Amino acid sequence: MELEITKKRSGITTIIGLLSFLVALVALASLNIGLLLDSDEFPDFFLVRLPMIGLALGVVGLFTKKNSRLYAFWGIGLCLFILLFTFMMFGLAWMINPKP
Amino acid sequence: MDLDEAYQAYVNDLYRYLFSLSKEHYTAEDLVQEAFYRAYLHLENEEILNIKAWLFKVAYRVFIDYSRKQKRVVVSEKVGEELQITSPEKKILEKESFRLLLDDIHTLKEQERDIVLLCDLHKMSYQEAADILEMNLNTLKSHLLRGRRKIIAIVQERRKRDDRES
Amino acid sequence: MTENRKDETELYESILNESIQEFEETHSHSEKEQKRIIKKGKNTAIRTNILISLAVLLLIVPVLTLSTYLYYAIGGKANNAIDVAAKTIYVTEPNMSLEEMEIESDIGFFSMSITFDVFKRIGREDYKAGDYEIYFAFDSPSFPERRMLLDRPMQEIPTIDTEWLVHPNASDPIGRSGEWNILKNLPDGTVGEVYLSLTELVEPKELEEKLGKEVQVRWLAVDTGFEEKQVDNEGVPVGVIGYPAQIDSTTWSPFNGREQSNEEVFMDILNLLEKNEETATKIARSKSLVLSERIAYLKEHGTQVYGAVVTGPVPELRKLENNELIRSIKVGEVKLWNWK
Repeated sequence: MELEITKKRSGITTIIGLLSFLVALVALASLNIGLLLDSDEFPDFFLVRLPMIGLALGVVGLFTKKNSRLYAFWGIGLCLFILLFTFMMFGLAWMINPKP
Repeated sequence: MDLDEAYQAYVNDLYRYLFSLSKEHYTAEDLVQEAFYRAYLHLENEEILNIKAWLFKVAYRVFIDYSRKQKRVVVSEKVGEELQITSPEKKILEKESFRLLLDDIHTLKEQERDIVLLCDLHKMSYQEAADILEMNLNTLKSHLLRGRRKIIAIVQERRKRDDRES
Repeated sequence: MTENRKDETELYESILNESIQEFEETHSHSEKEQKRIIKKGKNTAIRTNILISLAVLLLIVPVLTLSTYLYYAIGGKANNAIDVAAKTIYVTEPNMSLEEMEIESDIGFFSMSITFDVFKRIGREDYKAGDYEIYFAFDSPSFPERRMLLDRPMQEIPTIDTEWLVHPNASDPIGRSGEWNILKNLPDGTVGEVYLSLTELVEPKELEEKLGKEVQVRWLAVDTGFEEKQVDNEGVPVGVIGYPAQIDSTTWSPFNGREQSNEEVFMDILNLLEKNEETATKIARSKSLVLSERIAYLKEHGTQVYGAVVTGPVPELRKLENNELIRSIKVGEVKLWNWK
C-alpha cells in the first residue's frame, strides 16, 4: 500500500518536469517548421501560449523533491528561449528594412 | 549487454552503500536508480578503468545532490517525508546490529563518516576511496583512523552498558 | 596496550562483518529486481539523451535565425545595404528610379536577398523597366541579377564603345548618325526617351533653358574628370554618373526636394557610396566608380553637365537636331502617346 503511494508520487513529479520538456520541444519543433516554411502567419499558440504552459510546468517541476530536475531545467530553458526569440524577432524584424 | 551485466553485479553493493548513507529503504532504492541512470548518461564522457569504484563515485555524487536538495525542500515536503519511513515488514526482518552500527557511524563528522563507510563497510581500498571522495590519500588515512577509533569507543561503551543491564 | 588495540580491531571487524552479512540477508535484491533497476536506469538515460539531442537539433535553426537578425539589425547593416543599393541605382543608371517602399528583403541564414523594381519615365508616365535581385552573404553583395524589360537596354558591362552619353572631348561612337533617322521614322503620336551628348560642358540650369519647355530633362550626366578619358587610372572603363533632374515627389525618394536640391542630394549620395564603394561597385554596371577622385574633382570644379536624358513627344525631340548644344543622340525607349 505504502509502496504504491510512493511510486505514484515519484511518477507524477517526474512527469511534470518531463511534460515541461516535451511541451517545450513541441513548441520548438513548430518554431522550426514556421522558420523553415518561411511563413509570416504563424499561430501565436505555439510561440507564446505553449511556452508559457511549459514554463509553468517547469517551475512546478523544479519544486518537486524526488528525481532529477534536469527535465524541468531544460523545459524552462527552452521555453524561455522561445519566448525571448519571439520577442526579439518582433523587434529585430521591425528594425530591418522598416516600412510604415 | 556486457555493460548491463557488469552493472548488475554491483546493484546490491550500490544499494547497500546508498542505504548506509541515507538510512532509508525507499530513498536508497530511488538513488540506486538515479545512480545507474547517471552512469549510463555519462558513460561516453569518462574512461572507466574500475567499474565498481566509478559506480560508487557516481552514487556518492547522487547522494550529495540528494541531501542538498533535501535541505532546501525540507519544509514544503513534510508529507512526502512521512511516506518514506521504512516499511514495517522490512523493519521486522531487519536485525538491530546493522542499524546500530549505521547510527554509530552517522554520529561521526561527515568526512569521517564517508571514509569509514567506504573503507570499512564496503571494503574499498584507500586509493579507491580517495578517488571516490576526491581526497588526498594521507588525509583520508588519518581521518579513517580517527573515525575508527571513535566507532570502537562507542561500540565498547554500549557493550559495557548492555553487560551491566543484563 | 597493543593487546588491547588488537582486541578492539578484531571486535570492530567482527561487528562489521556481522552487520554486512545481516544486511545482505535481509535487503538483497533478487536478480529480476536487479535487472529491472538496471533497465530502468538505462531507459531513462536513453530517453534523456534522445530528448536533449532533439532539443539541441531543434535549437540550431532558431539560434541561426536569431543571430542572423541580430547581425543585420545591429549597426543597421541591412538597412545600410538596402540604402546603398537603391542610391547606387539613382546615380549610375540614367533615367531610372525605384519605389523605396517596395524594396523587399528576405533574410536567410547570414544572408539576405533584396528585390526591387526599377522604373523609367517615358513621356508623362513611369514604366517598369525591370527588376533587380541582389544577394548579400553577410554584408557583401554578389553581382545583381537584372531582368530588364527594355527594348534597348544598356550594355550590362559598359565599355568605351557602348557608352550612350559621351563627353565633348571624347570620340563619338560610330553609327550615331543613324539615331536621328530612327526619330524621323517614328510616328508623331509617340513619346520617346533620348540620350543627349553635348558639344560643351554646361551648368544644369543653362541646359534646361536651352532645351526649351517642350521636352523634359530627366537625368543629368555630370563631368567628374574621368569622362574625357572614359577609363580610370588602371584602364578600367568608367561609366556615367549623374542625378535626376526633376524632383520626385514620392515621400521616400532621396530626391524629394524638401530640404536639399537634387544637386546637394547627389553629393551626399556620392559621399555615402564612397564609404560603401565595394557594395556600390558590385551593384553598378560600371566596374570602376573611382568615387574619391570624382568627389574631389566635383568639389573643385562644381557640377557641370556633359550629357542628359530627355523625354517628350517625338516631334519635339526631332527639333533638337537643330540645337547647337547637341552633338549626338541615342534613342532609348519609345511608348504610345501619353503627353498631357
